[in-house]
Amino acid sequence: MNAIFLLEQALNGLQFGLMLFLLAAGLTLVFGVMDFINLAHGSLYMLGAYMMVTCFGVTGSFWLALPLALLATAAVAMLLEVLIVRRLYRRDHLAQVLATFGLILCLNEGVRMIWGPHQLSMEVPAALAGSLPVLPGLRYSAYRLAIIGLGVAVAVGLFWLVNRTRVGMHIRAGASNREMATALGVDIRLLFTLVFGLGAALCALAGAVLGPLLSISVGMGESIIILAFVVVVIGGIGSVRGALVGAILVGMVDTLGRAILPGALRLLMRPELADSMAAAAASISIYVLMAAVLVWRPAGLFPTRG
Amino acid sequence: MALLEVHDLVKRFGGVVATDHASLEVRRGEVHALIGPNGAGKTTLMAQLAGALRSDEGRILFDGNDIAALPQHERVALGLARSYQITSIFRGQFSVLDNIALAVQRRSGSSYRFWKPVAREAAIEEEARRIVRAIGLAGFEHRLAAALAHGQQRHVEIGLAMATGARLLLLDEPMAGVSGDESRAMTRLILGLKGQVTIVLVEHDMEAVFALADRISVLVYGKVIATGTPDEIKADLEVKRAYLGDEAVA
Amino acid sequence: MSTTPLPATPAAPAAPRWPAALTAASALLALLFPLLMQAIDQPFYTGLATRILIFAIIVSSLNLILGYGGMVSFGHAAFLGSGAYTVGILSLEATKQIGLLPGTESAWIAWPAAALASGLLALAIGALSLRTRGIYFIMITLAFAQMLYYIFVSLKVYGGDDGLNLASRSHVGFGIDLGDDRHFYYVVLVLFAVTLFGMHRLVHSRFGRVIEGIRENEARMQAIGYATTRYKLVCFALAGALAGLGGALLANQNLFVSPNMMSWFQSGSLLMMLIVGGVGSLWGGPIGALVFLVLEEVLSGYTQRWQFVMGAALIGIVLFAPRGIVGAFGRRGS
Repeated sequence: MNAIFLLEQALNGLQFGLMLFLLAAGLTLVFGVMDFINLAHGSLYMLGAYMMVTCFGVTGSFWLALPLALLATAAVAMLLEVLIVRRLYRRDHLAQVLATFGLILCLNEGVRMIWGPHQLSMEVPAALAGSLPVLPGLRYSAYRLAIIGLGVAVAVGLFWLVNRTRVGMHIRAGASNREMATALGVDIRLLFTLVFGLGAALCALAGAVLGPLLSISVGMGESIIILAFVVVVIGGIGSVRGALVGAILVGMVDTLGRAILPGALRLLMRPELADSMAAAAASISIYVLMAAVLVWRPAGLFPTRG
Repeated sequence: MALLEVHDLVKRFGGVVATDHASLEVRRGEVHALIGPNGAGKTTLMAQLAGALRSDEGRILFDGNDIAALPQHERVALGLARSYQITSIFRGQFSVLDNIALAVQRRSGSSYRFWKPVAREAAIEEEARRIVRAIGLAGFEHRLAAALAHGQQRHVEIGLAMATGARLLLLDEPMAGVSGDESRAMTRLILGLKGQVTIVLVEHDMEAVFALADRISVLVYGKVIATGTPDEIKADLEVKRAYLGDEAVA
Repeated sequence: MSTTPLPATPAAPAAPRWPAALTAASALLALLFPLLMQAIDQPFYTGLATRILIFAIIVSSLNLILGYGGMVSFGHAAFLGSGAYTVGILSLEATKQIGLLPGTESAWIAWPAAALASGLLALAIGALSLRTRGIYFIMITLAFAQMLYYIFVSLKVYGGDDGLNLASRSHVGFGIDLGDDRHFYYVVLVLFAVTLFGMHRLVHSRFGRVIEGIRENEARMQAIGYATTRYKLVCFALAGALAGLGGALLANQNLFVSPNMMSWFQSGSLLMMLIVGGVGSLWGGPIGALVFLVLEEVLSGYTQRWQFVMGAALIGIVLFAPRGIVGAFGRRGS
């Protein structure tokens, strides 16, 4: 274990965290503005990845496929919002959890029907296929660096949108007090549909971009949605800043945990046991983090509501 | 010794001082009204006395014991209970009798009993029925509380506080949203309690206040500016100024 | 002193209750089921019926905290899983002597142990989770269930991701052989009956009234003197213990335990069964389990796409029949 290794893992953690941010940002906005728990958020991420594969197959170009996949996923999401989701805004959280759970089942099966049950894969675009020297002695994947850059760009873009534009102001108003925002003349229904679509687009972006790095399969959404929820809870519902801080925290803790713990525990106990414990400890580390944050700050790090 | 003594209570919300060194003394058996203009902080003070809000400074002595650090449910066990300005009873499938019985149940033994049906506990039912009669809802025992008229729900609201067996009742605007016949009924209800329990009464309805109160304290900007009998308060210049402005007094 | 009561709006008319004949017929069917299945040479359905009864117990335990207590937990499968693993691990230790724990295959020890372990786990998780409310409570219960899931995935010594096989069903003695599906069915049926009766008594007891009061208006419960968090915690622990017992039975039924028993998917399925049956009514758990498992069985026979139908049905129920089957046909009968 040396500094280069740690640095590489830190970059991985940053990359992972920024992608989590894409999911968490959409989730926290939907939570904050519409008070809506969307378990199916991860399914939109999955849909984005699948759409990307198809769009790439059709256009042959990574750069053309990306915006197409985003638009396609956002369109599906907004359709779902109009048909199903908007009937749930006034309902209690349990109803929302159950309905979106049902949505996961439908979307998973739908994807299986259209794309088949087998894993798909995608290639990293040729322009980003190599690696770059980040530091003397450390070459890092150009694609992953691009992802980090993309994540930072989206973060900046979202902050600008939420804090500096009119739409963003409406979003923030809706997040902290829905009734008041309506009273002040904000077109709530349109706003809600757009926010939902925006969240879906962010998910799709993460899915499309991570496609070449991970395996694309039905159910890929489930594993990541829980992490996204953990991020939102840690960061505070409704706060994009909280989502960013939370996501990077979670990304780092998870990645560095998995990297460091096996080695650290091997110093203390037998290798097989150490590996078992390390795997367990690394998996639960973020949940321990979340529980700790909630005990200290029951409404997250940056709550928007009192 | 007074039943309730409040010494220099302070409560801040961010930059706002809602309770500003308020001091109060409530004697046993009296009806002590708390009046003041809107925004004076009456409900905030009540919430601190009941234990729903933690004060920043000051002492609250109940029967000689400092209760300022006690959580709400423990204050009820000591004999201090509250009713709400905005009706907060048990709705859904809870009947009037169910509501009152819940409060009665708490003071008649442990509720960590998992087997015997409550319906078979005659003592609880008897006591609950007695209170339902006392609040004037005889015959309505099995009505769903949520289906009652507003005025009747206010009776249940008071009844819940009474049923805890408290020696000191904090009644927060019992007349809220109630008028005419109903407010006279409510006044009679509270008069009926006079002497048996000590009451701190927050009210805007001045007719009721002067009919019920033994003494009145006036709260302005979180501070008690005057305490005295109804006649004394009526005559008090400071009070007039607080309510009606400087021109009225000059 | 009395007042002239002002007229109130009349109470809602009572909806029809379950006809007694239907109840009697169902009870008779339940008692004779294995014999009937044997007669028509379809022993598989005895196993299905047992499975339904086991889930009826588990979903009823969820009903206790959710329907009666108002606590929306998305991590209830954790207690199902911990109960199942208690039985599994004890069985493994007895037959293979891993050496980490003493082992046993006796139901008289393993099953209470499962309930106890799950109850204690629920006490611990509840103590931390009940500091939060609303969405945070949902999330933190989910998180704890996930923690447990990953812990068992990493415990290679107890099977890890692949799960654990049980050599045989628990030993009861007295001439009862749980390996015989018919015997097992009757044992589970008895436990189910005891559970339902116990819940009926619990709901009408002092404790039950307090829990329902807390669900209805927690702030007012504190204002009339109840230490509400403590009651919720006890309720949570009881439900956890009951789910643990269900888990023990499930481990026996399948002769297999795996971390999937504690997955959030499993927690979601439990919630789904409950809402189908009817949240907050005594028979909500059993009915939900019955409908869900039968539907799953029927649909998976017809199509590989049964999950789609399930999902659509769930959405439909939430949107159009949120009080579930019991809610559609009768008042909350408890």
